[in-house]
Amino acid sequence: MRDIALKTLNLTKEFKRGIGSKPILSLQRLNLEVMRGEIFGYLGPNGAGKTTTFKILMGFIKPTEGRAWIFGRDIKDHRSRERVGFLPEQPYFHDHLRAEEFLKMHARLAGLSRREARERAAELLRLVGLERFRETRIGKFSRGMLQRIGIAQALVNDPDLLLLDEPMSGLDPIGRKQMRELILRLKSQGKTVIYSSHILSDVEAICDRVAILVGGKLIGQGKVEEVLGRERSDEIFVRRVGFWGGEAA
Amino acid sequence: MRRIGVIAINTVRECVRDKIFLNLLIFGALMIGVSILIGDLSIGQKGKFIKDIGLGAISIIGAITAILLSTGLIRREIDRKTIYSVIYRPMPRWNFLLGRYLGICLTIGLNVLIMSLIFFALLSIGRYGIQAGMFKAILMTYMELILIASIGLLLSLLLSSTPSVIFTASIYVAGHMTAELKGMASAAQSGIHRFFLGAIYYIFPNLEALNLRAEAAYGMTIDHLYLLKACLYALAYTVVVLTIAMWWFERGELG
Repeated sequence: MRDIALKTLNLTKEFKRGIGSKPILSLQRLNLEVMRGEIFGYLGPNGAGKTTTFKILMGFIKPTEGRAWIFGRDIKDHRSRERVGFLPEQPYFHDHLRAEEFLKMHARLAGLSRREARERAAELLRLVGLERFRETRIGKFSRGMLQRIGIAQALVNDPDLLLLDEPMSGLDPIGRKQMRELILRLKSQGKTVIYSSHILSDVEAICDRVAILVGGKLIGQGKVEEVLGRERSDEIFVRRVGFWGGEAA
Repeated sequence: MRRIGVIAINTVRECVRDKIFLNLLIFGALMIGVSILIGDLSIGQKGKFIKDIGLGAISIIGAITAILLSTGLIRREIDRKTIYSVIYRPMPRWNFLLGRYLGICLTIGLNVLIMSLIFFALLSIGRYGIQAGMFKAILMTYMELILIASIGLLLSLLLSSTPSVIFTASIYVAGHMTAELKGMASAAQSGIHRFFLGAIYYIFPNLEALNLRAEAAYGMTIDHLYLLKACLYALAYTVVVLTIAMWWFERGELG
């Protein structure tokens, strides 16, 4: 357990609908193990249950069944998120705040002192290339800038585990390249990164291991070539996911 | 505790940067100003008329502010998903809710303070006199507003935006009619009506008990013990409602 950053055991989520309707099974007995210091790709088509998994891990929703641990601490305990940074799928942030205010607020929420928060905000604005926009309100940011400020808030507490939900979406090719470089840099600092995507090429280049989720079911977990084979491409991935999806249904 | 404070301060920042806050303040200032102008219509009662209208304006604008902020802030955060980036921080969820509530209370306090300063400035310029009772009436108005804000916050967790505004506003109105409700309950012919009206009387807050504006405008003495009891009543009611809201928020799903 010491080398495991994240573990889930039979994690299941059913969403109840109206009276008389069948509940939607969004996640079925998910068993994941992510080791410390690895980049872990969480792949699957839209609606596969990737965001649901992140929502459970971050305590937004409760699992119908199963358990999960972050660095050995049960996710029911809010302290399990002390060493975690999270980037939500759609980076909607507080429009009224200026970039620096926003990061300072997050730094304070993460437990930093006023002085540390000020220094950390300045450092992160430099890191994500938004230094010039420190006084700009977030409401005026483009999608790419929102993604960058989102990454900065996820890093504010210098986390050991980063959960990034579709971090590449909405980014142009340069932005995607920068994001890949940032993830690799975080790995070199010994951090664990779990990130979701529905695009294989975003994942295969940098991930140590991947898990593939289709229709709420885990259909494979391991090294990229073990799970997807050697001749991998987005087309093959789509075909296989389609096949597995059919098999899973 | 520090996290609650950070959320509260951010809430004030958010509220005062919202155009609605500024517009309501301007509208409140205009209402108080107009009371001076139309005060001439009242024969021999100009001072009392102005004080009555001024204190009423502080209360009404404060209530609109309290209802809109308390029902809108959390609901908007949930609907727009901005809540995700904050709520995953290592803190119990109720910290977030309490921080938001305290921020709303501070904003309402700022609103009441600015309008009161305008009111007192106009009274001083017009030499209408400022009595201690007015400060007491404004304090009780503030207690009333933080109470109604706690109800708005709770309803915003249970209902969507529009119904929560409508219900909170209805409770505000009904809270000022509790004496009438009690009278209607005792006069009701049917047992069900009597029970229903009686239940509303006991469940809804008695906001009229916190309304000392008429006494202040007419320069009547306000008993300190009454003031203390009324404050305690408002605080107790607020704590109960907030506890329910925090319990509900802690166990609910966000997404």
